[in-house]
Amino acid sequence: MTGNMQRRDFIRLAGGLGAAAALSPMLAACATPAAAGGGGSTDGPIKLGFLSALTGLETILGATQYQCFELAVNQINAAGGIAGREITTIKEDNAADSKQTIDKSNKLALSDKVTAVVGLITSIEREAALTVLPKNKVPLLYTTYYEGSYFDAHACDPYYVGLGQVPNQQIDPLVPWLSDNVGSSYYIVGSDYIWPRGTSIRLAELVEDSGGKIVGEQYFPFGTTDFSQVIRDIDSSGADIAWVPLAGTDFLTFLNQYHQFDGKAKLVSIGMDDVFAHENPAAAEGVIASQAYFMSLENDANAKFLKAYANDYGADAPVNAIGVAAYNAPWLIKAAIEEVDGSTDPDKWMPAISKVSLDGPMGVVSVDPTNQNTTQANYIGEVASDGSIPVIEAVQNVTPDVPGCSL
Amino acid sequence: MEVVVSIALNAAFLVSVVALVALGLGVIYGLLGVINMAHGEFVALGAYAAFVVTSSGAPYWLALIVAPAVGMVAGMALQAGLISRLVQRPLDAILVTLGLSLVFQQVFQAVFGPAGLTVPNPAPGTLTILGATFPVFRVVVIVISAIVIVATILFLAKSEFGIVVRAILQNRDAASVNGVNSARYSLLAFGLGAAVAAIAGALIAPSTNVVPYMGATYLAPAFVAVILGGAGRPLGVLLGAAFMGGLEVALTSYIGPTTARALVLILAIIAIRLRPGGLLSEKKDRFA
Repeated sequence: MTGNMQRRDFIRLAGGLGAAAALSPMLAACATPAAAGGGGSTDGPIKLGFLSALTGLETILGATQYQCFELAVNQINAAGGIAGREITTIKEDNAADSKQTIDKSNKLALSDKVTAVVGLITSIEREAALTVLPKNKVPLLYTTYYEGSYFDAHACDPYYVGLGQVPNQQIDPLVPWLSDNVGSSYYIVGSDYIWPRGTSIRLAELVEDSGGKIVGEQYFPFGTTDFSQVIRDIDSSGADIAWVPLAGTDFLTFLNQYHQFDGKAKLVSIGMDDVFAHENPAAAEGVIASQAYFMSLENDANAKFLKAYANDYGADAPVNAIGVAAYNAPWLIKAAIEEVDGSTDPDKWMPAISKVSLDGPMGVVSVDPTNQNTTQANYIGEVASDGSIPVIEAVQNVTPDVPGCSL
Repeated sequence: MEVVVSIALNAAFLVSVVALVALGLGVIYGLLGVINMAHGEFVALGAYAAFVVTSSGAPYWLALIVAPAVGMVAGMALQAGLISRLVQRPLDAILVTLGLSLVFQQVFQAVFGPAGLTVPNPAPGTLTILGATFPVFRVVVIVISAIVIVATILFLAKSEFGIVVRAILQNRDAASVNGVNSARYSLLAFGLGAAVAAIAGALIAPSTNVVPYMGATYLAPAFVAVILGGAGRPLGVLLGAAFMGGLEVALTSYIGPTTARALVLILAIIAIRLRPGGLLSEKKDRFA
């Protein structure tokens, strides 16, 4: 009993300290009148925050994402900035962790007073950042796939733009293609969090509608190092397709071990992209991917982008859809702010972001006014032995569908 | 039949890796009384050694010599420079080694970058064993682990080193009075424990991703294996590892990975409650 009381007191004390710590930058902000209008000031540089997983589970994606963002900022600054104002950036690492995402979001919003935040990989980070940024009127441009309100995700906010694909863009075109070319029974192996579980709900609907079936489903905690048992289960289930929405390093571990065990089912992953394929081409070869961008896309903007990227970050540095979305983000912010005559007041430029469009490396993209996700293309590809991903099938201009979200 | 065989093979792989890590941990704890929180980082050190060896173009197999050598040198340096000053101060040793593990992780990150590194599979291909498909390299890992484990246990049980070490363990002062240089033996024991962990790292590397924080993944089950087996009892540690790895593999297929992991730990707690002195403890050692 006494023990319980003490623990409760401790939690209360800890909570109080936490709240005080969180409040202090806000108090400081109130004390300095000049700082109060930081996000909406009319001269001086425009500050953009970059927040993502630069260490930990998702490092493989975060590093590329940052470089793409940095490349866009450098190009914009070289061409005169946003409405004549230079962009400065503040880079923060959240180690793919929700608590660190909240801490760093508070820092970027309250003490750095950035005009917008770009980045994040996992849906966990996105949901965490959304508890902080919108209430401080700091727009978030999320560049990774979003499970689109399945499994209780709720990224639907005037201060939120989703630049990654949602299930109707990435999964809806893929399932019929798989029915025609691979098979119709699926075994799902995902990381145990909201994106794999949410997207698998959509997958199950589509598979059921097309007369196929899900024969097995397992979700693994982050940091799993051994998948041997589930690889055996996939084999003995007789599934045609192993559907693997695994996160970051765990996905690489799975690919490696699936290759070791010479698994029979065809690997399909909505997480597979040039970055993963490049990391271990031997293990990735033959995996079916579905993305808004592959390096193999043939268009002028992509050729120019790849050349500039190779120039800055090395000839063999791979890029993916998450990276290109992070490259598009500063360009979209620039277009939206310039659309409202250079105002950095988010209540002015955020509504304008769905009025502009961008012809970039992944083709033409525009923000849908209904749910502020992105109308974009989808490409289905198969990883080749050198780690490149040639496109097999393409659909252009797919409107994002997020059930229940109407802004 | 195929199900049983493949569970047994997958369990054997996991158990041999956990056993290697736990054995080193148990040697250091049993002999020095130090709970080495940085033990997982020796596993990572071995894995990075394998990466350096293979990326320099040398054959992977060289890593099985380089990794333990590097591990041994690092372990001995640590013991001589730091841990030896913490004899009889177990709590301080926990803090120091915990700090060291963080330092090691940051050093790995600074030197090799935060992203995962790949060590190519040196023995690709699969075998069919009684109907179950199993990678050739995993068979190699199981065999090498078994050799290292048996050699280590025999060394501790039969060699003069082992006998002296057990004397120190029983009574450090009496051993000193009899002319045993306990500092020298502690140095060797720490080096041995670190070397075995580094071999484990080199063996794991081709089946996973080499990342700065990978050690923690292997430290936790190894810890429980040591507690289950009873510190200072190499055979008990082996049994503890079999309990941890074997149960997890066997349960994963049936109740899902998250529940399996939780259930294994709950069973471990029950086992420790029933046999606080370790699975192999004599009746007189038991407290319950």
